[in-house]
Amino acid sequence: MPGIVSKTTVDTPVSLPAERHSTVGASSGRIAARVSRERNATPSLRKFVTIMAQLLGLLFVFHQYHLETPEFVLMSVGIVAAFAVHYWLPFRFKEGFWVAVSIVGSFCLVEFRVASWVLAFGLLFFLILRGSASYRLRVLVVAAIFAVLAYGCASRKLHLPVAFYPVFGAIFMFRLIGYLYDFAHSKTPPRLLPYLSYFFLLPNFYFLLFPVIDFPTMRRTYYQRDIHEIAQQGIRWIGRGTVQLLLYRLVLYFNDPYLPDRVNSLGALLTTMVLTFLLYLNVSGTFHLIVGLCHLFGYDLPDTHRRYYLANSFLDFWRRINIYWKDFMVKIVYFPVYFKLRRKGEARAQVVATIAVFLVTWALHSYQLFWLQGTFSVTWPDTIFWGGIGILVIANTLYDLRHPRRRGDLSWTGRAVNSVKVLGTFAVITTLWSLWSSPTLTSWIYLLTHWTHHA
Amino acid sequence: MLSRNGSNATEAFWRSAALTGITLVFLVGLQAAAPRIYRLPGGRYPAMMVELMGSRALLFNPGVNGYYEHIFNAEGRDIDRRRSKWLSATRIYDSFRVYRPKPNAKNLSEWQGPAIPTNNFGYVDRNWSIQKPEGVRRLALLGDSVTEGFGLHPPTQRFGNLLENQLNAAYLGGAQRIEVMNFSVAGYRLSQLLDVATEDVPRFQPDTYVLALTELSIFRGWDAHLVDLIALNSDLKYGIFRRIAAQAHTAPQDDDNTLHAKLAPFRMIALKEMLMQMKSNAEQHHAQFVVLLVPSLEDADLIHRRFEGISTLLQSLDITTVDLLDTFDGVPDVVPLRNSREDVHPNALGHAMIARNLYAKLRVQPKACVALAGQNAGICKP
Repeated sequence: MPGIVSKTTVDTPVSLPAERHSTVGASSGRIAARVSRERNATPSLRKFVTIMAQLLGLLFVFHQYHLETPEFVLMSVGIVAAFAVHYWLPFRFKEGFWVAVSIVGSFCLVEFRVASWVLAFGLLFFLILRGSASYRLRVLVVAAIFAVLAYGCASRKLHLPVAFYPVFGAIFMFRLIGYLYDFAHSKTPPRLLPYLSYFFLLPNFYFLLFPVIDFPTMRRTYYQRDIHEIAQQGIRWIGRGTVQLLLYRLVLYFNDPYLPDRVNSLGALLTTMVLTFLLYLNVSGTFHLIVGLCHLFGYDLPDTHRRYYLANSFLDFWRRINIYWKDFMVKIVYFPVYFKLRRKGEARAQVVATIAVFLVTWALHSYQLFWLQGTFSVTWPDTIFWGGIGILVIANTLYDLRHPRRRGDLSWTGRAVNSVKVLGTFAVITTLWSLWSSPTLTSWIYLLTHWTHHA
Repeated sequence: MLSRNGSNATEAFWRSAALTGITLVFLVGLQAAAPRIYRLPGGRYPAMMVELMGSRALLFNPGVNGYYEHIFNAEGRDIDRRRSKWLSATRIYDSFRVYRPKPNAKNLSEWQGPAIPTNNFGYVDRNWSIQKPEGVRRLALLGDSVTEGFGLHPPTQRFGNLLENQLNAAYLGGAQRIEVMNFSVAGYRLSQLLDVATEDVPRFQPDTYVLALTELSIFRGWDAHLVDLIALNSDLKYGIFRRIAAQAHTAPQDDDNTLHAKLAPFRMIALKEMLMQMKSNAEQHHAQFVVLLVPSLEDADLIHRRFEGISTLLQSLDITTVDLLDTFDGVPDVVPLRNSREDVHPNALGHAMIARNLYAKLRVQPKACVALAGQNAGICKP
């Protein structure tokens, strides 16, 4: 198993292309799966009341702590109300109802014109993909539309609302890539309801920074367990996300005084570097919240982040932070490169595939900035950060290949060694993160060295 | 086997629900208990942490930015968009200040409520005569939205007007009248106020230039105006800005985050030179120069933290300073003093507190008192 792919940290491992062919099941398999899902949707009044009580409690906490904007309150109240209806609906109406709620909700969360255009382009993509032309031609047409919109985003010369581009980008910029990739390996044509449920997720119209949910995982996990277990896990994650977002405010507070020219001691430097890394709680908290909300409607999606501040190696860090992104990269970059090169040697295949992953990750972060900001920029801190993480992950992969890990060393020595590894990983990532957060290389060097003038 | 899995899952469901319930009750209880915790010995700090967790104001005005914060913070490089950001039906373009309120604008306010008009000169105040009337002591009050009275209806509830009333009421003899001329403009940084002090103020022959310094001009956003000017490729007009821009190697092509990062090391140098220039400008016009350190209603002790080093700087420049940053110290919940929950501008109550504190400080700071109220003012006499 390639080093970059996690065996242990992802609930639902990414399926290999070869496996995917075989999973496009026969109709009897689909019927069995549907029966099983319907069974998992069986309501229980006691559990429903328990779930609703927790959701109302969460709404109250959102209100008490002013977690987000009034639009978020509107969205979360709408989602809880939608859950209360969705829960009791016959199974066959559930997903359609959720899609309807999401589309109607999108018009409440963003400008009418923006929501209309996003919906129009979404339907246009669907019609193109559903068409009878060759796969390559369909992808080319979609890419051409993307290119025209990218031109519009950069020049603002198309007569589309300015607010359209970030919303469009947030919905389609990554997930469409994954969808097209899966579509290439699928034997069945795309269906409208799964397509709409995948792209038109209500929280995406509020949270423009959105986890790259995997389409096959979303379909496979739909009501895969009893809905009460799925919803309860979702509520736990919403709670976890909420706590992380509240802690994020404390991080902002503690980091507030450290303007670059006020970092006058080594202690101040270390403090601000650690706090800058802790700012990521905002992203992980948001992602927990988003995926938790999806759970309420039967999508048993895996965890997005897992104790990433406690990673004990760089490879471990890459596997724990933004797991969806790692899976996305593994699927569209790592596996294709790895399987192409595997015959020429395991280590070589892994190294080249990992390099490709970090190159693409670096480029896609600029691509993300482009859609969200309307300007394309490649900076040295970005390049050095992804290059540095890539080199560390490759070194870690090669080391692990030569020194297979012993699992579960619970002795005091083992725990001490693990703690040192956790601290070491944290220190290196913190340093790289502070570089990534600096707009320029010079400003990062200034931050690192300013205190020496006061020492 | 199946039923055991089922019962395990059910048990897990109830356990998780109970844990979530406990967490929610704890969070709600914490928030409810915060005011009581505040009053306990040593309870101020923990109560402050709870207050911070429940505040959104900090999110809008954080002192730091990480990678993901930058994503939603950047301005982009479109000159038209940047220019139009500041312009509206009541604001016109200015090649240095970037924008200025239109003279005789009917309503500067973007909110519902009574209209906020500007005077003949584009400031939110009564109309002024250019010639100073006999027996009038003029104070030119320079500041940003806090001093302009942002959100107040009517704006005469702002601390500048309250001070004017207090001084006139307390003036012994009544031979002289105090006129506070409010030259404040929402969003103006120190660099823009320097231009107001240089270009607009002198012709009104004020006796004292009073600079109301808020965190906007001294903390993270101190350089926002310079960033706009550089990005717009405008003339920086003053030698000090040209020098700093050259030393920082700024370029119009740089994005906002890059420009802020390049200018960051020059913050204190720029503040120092701007203050020196304002002081010498006032002295050239035979006027005195006083700085008020004015708080906005930020969470916890952020205001004090953000102003660190500023008093020392003012002292080193021998500038008479009245420090009002302690106005809201000891107020457990500042939200009722804000314009709204997320808007840290003081409301009428907050302005009244600032005015009271200013008046009280003047009574114990004779130099500042004389600069503002004049030699013969009774309140300045011990």
